[in-house]
Amino acid sequence: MNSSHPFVKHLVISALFLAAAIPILAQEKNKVIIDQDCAGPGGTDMQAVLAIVNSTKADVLGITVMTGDAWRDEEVQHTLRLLEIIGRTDIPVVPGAVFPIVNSKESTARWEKLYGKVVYQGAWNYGKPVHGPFEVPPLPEGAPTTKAANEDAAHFLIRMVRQYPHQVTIYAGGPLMNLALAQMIDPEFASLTKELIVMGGSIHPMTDDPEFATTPRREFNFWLDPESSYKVFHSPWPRIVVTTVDISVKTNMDKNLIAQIAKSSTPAAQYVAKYAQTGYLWDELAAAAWLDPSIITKTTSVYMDISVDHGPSYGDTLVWMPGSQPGLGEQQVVVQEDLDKDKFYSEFVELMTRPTPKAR
Amino acid sequence: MVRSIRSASAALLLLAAAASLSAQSKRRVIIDQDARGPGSTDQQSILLLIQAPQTEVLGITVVSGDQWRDEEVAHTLRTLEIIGRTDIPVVPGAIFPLVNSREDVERWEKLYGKVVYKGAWNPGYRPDPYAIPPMPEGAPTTKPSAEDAAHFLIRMVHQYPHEITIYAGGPLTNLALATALDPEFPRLAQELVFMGPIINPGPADPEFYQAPRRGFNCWWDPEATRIVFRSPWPKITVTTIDISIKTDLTKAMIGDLAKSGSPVAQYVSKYTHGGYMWDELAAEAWLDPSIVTKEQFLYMDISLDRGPSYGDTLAWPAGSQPGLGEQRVHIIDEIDNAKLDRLFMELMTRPTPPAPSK
Repeated sequence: MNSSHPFVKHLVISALFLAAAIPILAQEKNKVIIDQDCAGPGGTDMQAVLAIVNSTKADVLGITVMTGDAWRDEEVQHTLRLLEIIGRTDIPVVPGAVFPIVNSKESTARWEKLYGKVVYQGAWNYGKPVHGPFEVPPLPEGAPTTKAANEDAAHFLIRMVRQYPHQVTIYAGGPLMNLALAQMIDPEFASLTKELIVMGGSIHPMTDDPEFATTPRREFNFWLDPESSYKVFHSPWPRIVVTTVDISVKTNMDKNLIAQIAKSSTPAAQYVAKYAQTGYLWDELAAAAWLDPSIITKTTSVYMDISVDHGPSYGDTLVWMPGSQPGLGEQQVVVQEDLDKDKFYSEFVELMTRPTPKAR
Repeated sequence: MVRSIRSASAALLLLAAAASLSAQSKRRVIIDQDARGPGSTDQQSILLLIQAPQTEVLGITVVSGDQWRDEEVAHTLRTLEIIGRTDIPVVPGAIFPLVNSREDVERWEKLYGKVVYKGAWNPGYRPDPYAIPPMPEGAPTTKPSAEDAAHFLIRMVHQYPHEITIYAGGPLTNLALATALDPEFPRLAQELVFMGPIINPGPADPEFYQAPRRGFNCWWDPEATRIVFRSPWPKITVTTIDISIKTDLTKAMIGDLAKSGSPVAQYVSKYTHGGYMWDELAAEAWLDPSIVTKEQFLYMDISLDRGPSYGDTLAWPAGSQPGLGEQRVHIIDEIDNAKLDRLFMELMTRPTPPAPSK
C-alpha cells in the first residue's frame, strides 16, 4: 500500500476484512442430519442425500441409516460408497435400526390374510432378490473402503442436538425408528432440534395408481414401523413439515430429466444418471423444498397421527382439521399440497449437476 | 535380591486371589427395575440380589413404572449409600413408555372401565416426571451413571456374552430399547427373569378378579412387552401375579427384621410396606430354585389391540400358539412359602457382601 498514513492503512485493512466477512455471514449454513433408508445405488434415497450434500446451504452433520427400502447394513455400504465417489468421506455414516420396533414381516403376512396385500414392503419384499437383513449383495458401484461410524444413530442424534441445541434440522426420508429411539432415550431430543422435515404419510392422493388409490392412507415410511411413527408424531418438535404421497405423485423423473443430469461430468451427476430410475421424486422433493421452500405453492395445517391399532388401519396416516383432533398428544404439522414443477425440476437438476462443495 | 522376593510374593498373592475368584464364579446379574422407594418390593428385591453372596450385580438400570425414573434413581442411590455398596452403578433408563400414556389410559377407561393400579399415573400422583419429592430416608449425595440404560445393557452383554441374567422387576421399556438398538442383545444374555404377567389368579384379590390378565409391569408399556416377549432369549423365566398374591411379608417378619442390627434389615423394617412379595419372589426363585415346587411351560405374548384387551397377558400351551415369534416361557406356578420367607430373612439380616476387588 502506497499511503504511509496509518489511519488510512487501518481503514483499508478493515474494509478488506469486512468485504471478506460479508459472504461468509451471508452463507450461514443450516446444520442438518439426514435420517434415511439409503437404498442404492442411485434412486430416490440417494438422490435426496445428494440434493442436501450438494447444496451450499446445508452443513451435513451426518447420515443416520435405518432399514426401509433396503436393509440397514447394505444401505450403509451404499452410502459409504456414494460419499467416496463424490469426495465427501468427511460426513459420518451412522448405522441405526435394523428392524421396526414392533412390526415384522411375519406379522404383516398374517395381517394380509385378513386385510389384503401390502404391495410395497421395502426390504421385506423388494430386494432383487429378496435377502436377509445382514446380507450385503455385491455393490454395482463398487464396495467402499471407508467405514461406518462406531456410534449408533440414536446416540449420535442425541449428541448432536445437545452439542448444537435448536440448530439442527432433522431431515427424515425413511421409516422413523432412529428418531423414535432417540426420543425414548432422551425425552428432550425433539424439542432440542430446529425442525423435523419428513417424507411420509398419505392423505388422499388423487391418482389412478392403484397402489395409492385403493389404500390412500398407507405410506411405506410410516407403515413399516407404526409405533415409531406414533412416537415421533407425539413428540414436541418446534416445527414439522410433511411431504406426503399426495404431492409426491404430482412429480415425475422421466428419461428427459435423467438425460439433463447425464450431461454433467461431475461424479455425482454421473452416478445419478447411471443408476436413475423413472418414477416419482419422493424424498428429493422433501429435500429440495427444505432447501428452497418457494418450490411449494400450497400448504395446509393439520394435526397428524398414525394408527397403532393392529386391525385394518394399522400404520395408516390419520389427520384432523385443527379443532377436531382428539388431543392425546398429536402435533400440528404443515403438509405440502402443491408445487411449482418447473422450478422443482430445474433446481433438482442443478443440485444433481453442480460440483459437490468441500469435495476432496 | 529383595526386589525379586517382593515380586515373587506379589505373584503368589495374585495367584491365590485369582484361584479364589474362579472357585467362586459368581452369577452376573443386571437388575432392571422400576425402583420405587423407599423400601417396597422394588428396593427389597434389589437388596436380596445384592445380599446374596453368589451374585455379582453389574448395575441397576431404572425405568419409570411404580414411580417416575428420576425419583426411583434417587431412592436407589440412597439405598446403596445406606448399605455401603455405592460401587454398583445406577443407570437411568426410559422415562416414558413407547406408546402408552396417562391420557391414552384415561380415554381407554371411559370405554372399558377403571384401571385400579397405574403406578406413576395414579390419580393424585404428581404429574411432573422430573420432580423428586422429599426423601424420608435422606437424599443421596452419589450420582447416577452418565450412560443410559439401553446402552449400558448392550455394552454389558457384549463384555460378558452368555453370562448375564437380566432380572426385570418393572416395565420392559429399557430391554425393548436395547433390543431395538442391538438385535443381538437378548441372544447375548444368559437368561431373562421377569416378574410381571398374569394368567388365572382366581378370586382372592378384587383387583385381579376383575382384570385377570392385566399385569402392571406388562401393561404400563405393552409395546415394549411385545418386543421382549418375541425376542430369542436363551431362557425366559417368569413369576406371575397368580403366585405373587399367595405371598406375604408379615408384621412378624418385619418385627424380626427390626431386631437385627444390619443396615439392610434396619432399612427394610423401617420403610417396607409389607404385603405381597412381588419382585422378591422372582429374585429368590432365581437365587434358589429349590423353593419352586411346581412349574410349567407356556408360550406367552401380550395384546396390542387398543380395545379392552390392551396390555393383557396372552398364554398358550405348546401347540396352540399362533407362531408369530412367541417364546416358550418357564413359569413358576408354586413355591414353598416357608422356604421363601426363611431365605428372605436370612438374606436381609446377613452382612452385606463387600464390593468386589478389581
